[in-house]
Amino acid sequence: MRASTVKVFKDIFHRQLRTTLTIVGIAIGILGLSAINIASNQIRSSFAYTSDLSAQPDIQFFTAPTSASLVSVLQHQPNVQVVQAEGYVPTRWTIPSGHISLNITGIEDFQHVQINKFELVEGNLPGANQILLESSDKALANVHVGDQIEVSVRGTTQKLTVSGFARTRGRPSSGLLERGLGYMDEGDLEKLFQTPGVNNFLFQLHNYNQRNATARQLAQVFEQQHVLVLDISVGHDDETSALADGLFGTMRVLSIIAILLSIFLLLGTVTALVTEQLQIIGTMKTLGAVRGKVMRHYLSIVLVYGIAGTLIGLTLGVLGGYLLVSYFGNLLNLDIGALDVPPLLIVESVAIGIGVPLLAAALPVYFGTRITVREALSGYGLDGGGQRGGKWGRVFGFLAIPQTIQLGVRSLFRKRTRALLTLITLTIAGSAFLAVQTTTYSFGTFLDQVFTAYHFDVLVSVPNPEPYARLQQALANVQGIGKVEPLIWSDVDTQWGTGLLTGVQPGTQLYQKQLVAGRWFAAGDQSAVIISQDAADKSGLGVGDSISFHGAVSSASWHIIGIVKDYNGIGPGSLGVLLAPIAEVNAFRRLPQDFVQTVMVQSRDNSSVGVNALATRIDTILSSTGIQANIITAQQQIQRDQNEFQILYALLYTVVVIVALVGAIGLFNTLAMSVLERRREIGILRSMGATGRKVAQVFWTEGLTQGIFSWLITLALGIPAAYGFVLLLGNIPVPVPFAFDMTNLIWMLGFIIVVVTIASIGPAWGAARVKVVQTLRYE
Amino acid sequence: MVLDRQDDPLVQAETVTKVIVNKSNETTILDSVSFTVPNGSLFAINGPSGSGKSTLLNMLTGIDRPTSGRIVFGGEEIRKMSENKLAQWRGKHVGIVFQFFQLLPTLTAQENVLLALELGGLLPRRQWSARAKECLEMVDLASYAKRLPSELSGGQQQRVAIARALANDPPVLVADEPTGNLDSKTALQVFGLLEELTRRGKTVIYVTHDRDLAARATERVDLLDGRVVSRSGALRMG
Repeated sequence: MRASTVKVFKDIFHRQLRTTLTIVGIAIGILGLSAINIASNQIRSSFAYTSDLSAQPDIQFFTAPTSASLVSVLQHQPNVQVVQAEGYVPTRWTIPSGHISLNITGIEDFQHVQINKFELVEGNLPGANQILLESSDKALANVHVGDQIEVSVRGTTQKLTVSGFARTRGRPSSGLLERGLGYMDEGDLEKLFQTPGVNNFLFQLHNYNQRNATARQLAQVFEQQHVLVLDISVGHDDETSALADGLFGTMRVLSIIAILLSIFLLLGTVTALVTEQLQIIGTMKTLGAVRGKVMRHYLSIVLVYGIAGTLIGLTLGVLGGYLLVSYFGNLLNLDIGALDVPPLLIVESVAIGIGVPLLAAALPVYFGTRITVREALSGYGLDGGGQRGGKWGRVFGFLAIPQTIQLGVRSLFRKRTRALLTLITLTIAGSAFLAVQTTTYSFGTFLDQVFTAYHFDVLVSVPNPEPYARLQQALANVQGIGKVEPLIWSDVDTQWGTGLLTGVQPGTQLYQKQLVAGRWFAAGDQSAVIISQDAADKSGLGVGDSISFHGAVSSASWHIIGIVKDYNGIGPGSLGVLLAPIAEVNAFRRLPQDFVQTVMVQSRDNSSVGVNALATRIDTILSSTGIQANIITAQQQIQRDQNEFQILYALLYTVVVIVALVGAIGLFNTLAMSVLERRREIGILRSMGATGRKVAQVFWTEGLTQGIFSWLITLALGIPAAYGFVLLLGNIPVPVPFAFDMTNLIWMLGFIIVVVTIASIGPAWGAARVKVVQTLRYE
Repeated sequence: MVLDRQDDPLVQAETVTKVIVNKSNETTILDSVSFTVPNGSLFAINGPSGSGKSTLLNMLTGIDRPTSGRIVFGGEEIRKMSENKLAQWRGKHVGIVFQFFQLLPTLTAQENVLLALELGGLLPRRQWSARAKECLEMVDLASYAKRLPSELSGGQQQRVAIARALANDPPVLVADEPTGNLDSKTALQVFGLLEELTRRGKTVIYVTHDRDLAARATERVDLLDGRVVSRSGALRMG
């Protein structure tokens, strides 16, 4: 083997820690990129296969129970291709920790399901007193084929045997929805729940684009047939796909940030390597090495780093991709299939893992090797930078700062390029930390604010609108209730996005009227609406304007009498809240005036214990009267919303750890090089009486100075970066208002100090252990 | 290089001047230094610290460039060569021995010599191993071929450096204080090696501040404050 090749490998293994850290830095970037690429590629393919929009209904009507013979009438309506009528019962499933919602669909003929198709994945189709559960229901409770489950039936509980598990195409995981899905024989369902007929009509159309007009037409048919329509859903649900796309898009951005940081790390490492070997470069040139040969030598070292980092990163990336695929597949209830790693993705990862380090290293190698033999052989010690640090001496002298601290601070200006690279790396790390902290704070603040307009302790929701009187009567028997008010929500379409039409009592006491303009409802108001601040900002409308919107079967144009602060109804493509008297909303939805779907309850005892106890009593009373309600306390609602963001937080803090690691490695390299270059200076300090601790302090001070400079820069750049980050991430679940906590700046300083200290430990300790005799003699 | 090894001067320095310009002042390191180095001589550049001897030596090897004047080495003026050209030229024509050895610390003694052969590019690859062994035998270190510099004494390291300098069989060896870092006994041994090389037809130019070592030269020039103060031996002006 050639001596120059031997030197390449010896240089690599001579500084094992630096080599390891550099390879780890490259591997981390490639791991993130490849895992995300593999996972998003597989999820998208699986989603396209599994979601199968053709299996979903284009329109869905939830009605009062009626005869299935209506199907023949509906089938002949214009644009209707397929009609499927089902019995649909929302009930509750008793599990060890309490109970959860379970929607059961009655199927007349399991062999001829045309809409919302499902596949049997385990067990058998249900027979008498049996239920076929959705496979992802296993995320809600530990259940197997043959087990008996308890469901609420008309105020009591009944046991059903699990016949098997199915996977319904396009339906997100039950764990994500927090409600289960089951299938029973239709006759069995009717017999068990005493619900004659069908109450769920699913339609597929010839022309999907005509869905709104068709929905209005169908609503008229139901009306003509005297069938009460409780709810209508028009169009497909592609939120899950959008959510997955948004999540993977953000993760890809984060992985690119990790690769960028790896580049900075590599720049620092290569600069350190070339600097360390300046004398050797000079010697090689005296032996006849031309500059190109010297450059090829150091680029060969980088090539080995790149190959090793890519191999490790790619291997772990495939594994990481598999884990990501499994996790999201479970979450989204997708049929993932075998892991597929497209060759193009591997080529991309290899090209980036090897090509990017070489490109990044080319510049420092080019500049580092241009040094002349004379310059290279001019020896160790302070060189050039001493002059740059000179004027700081007057400043520090005036401030009477100890010399050892001065040494640490002034050394920052000795190698400006290297210091700049380290500064950039630390600033990125600090900015990433600030961005993540601000994002979690913004999300947390938003969640706290979402329900500030709604002063309930317990929220009671029924699956379909019901007469308010029935709920009131049932709740009258519950002790500890302070106030009760009805509420109804309905999604409506506007030209600016989906609005949340919210029906409240005009004289409400539980809805906090946070008016910012206009007035509240007065007696005699008709077709009046109050919009949220978000809706006003997005639409540009104000008090006195009119807003047009339409539901599945109705359209309206109401005049705006006020604007309130209400953060409900925010989401991708959402407009915000449109408040109206509950009677007007019911009229718009063509429901009886006294129907409600939600009731707000305020407790007399608003302690946490009191509220939880009230929720339990409400649950008991309502289920005993046969009302299947979903009951949640305000605290539980906030916790549930926060849990939805947990995966986001986990990803974000993982990125923070990665950038902190890379920042620490970059600073470690810088300080290690500083120690190496200043060995003679260290020897002189030690010969003058400096203890190891004093010497370590010099280098820790240098690192700390770097950290403080980066903190100051991050103050200027980090806040706008955090703002941009909140905007970017807000597009995934919901756009949240930017909220900034000034204490995060202190946390960020603490974070940087921790990174600096960790990075400084090794070099400072090494400096402290240097023996005088070694430093005052050339090696 | 085209030489009559017996008669032609190998190196000619003509009014070589080196001035260092700082922000605040100018420092003249060498001032119109002129001399020639005969072929096959043991040539000393002598002077106290700060006299400019190492700077002059660096001029002769192309490591440094004069502010004015000419250096003609084997009939070629080296001042006009580019850095890369100089590097290639050095690999073929000059073997350099440093005061602090400048061995590559991660390579063994043999690998240090092999590196010089690889960079010089004069011999085909299949002959490198044998040549490296031969060079190490010339300095009596063949049995230490696999040792790292850190495993060798100062004198041994310097001998490896000499072996490395001889790898491409250059006509000239240039040594900057070759014994400056050695004890007196070892210094004599190493210097004896250099003398032996001249008997084998090499020209050895060395810098020293040691009068005794300077006295053993066949030709010499003495510097003081950057100027030639005396010459001795059979010198001819170029």
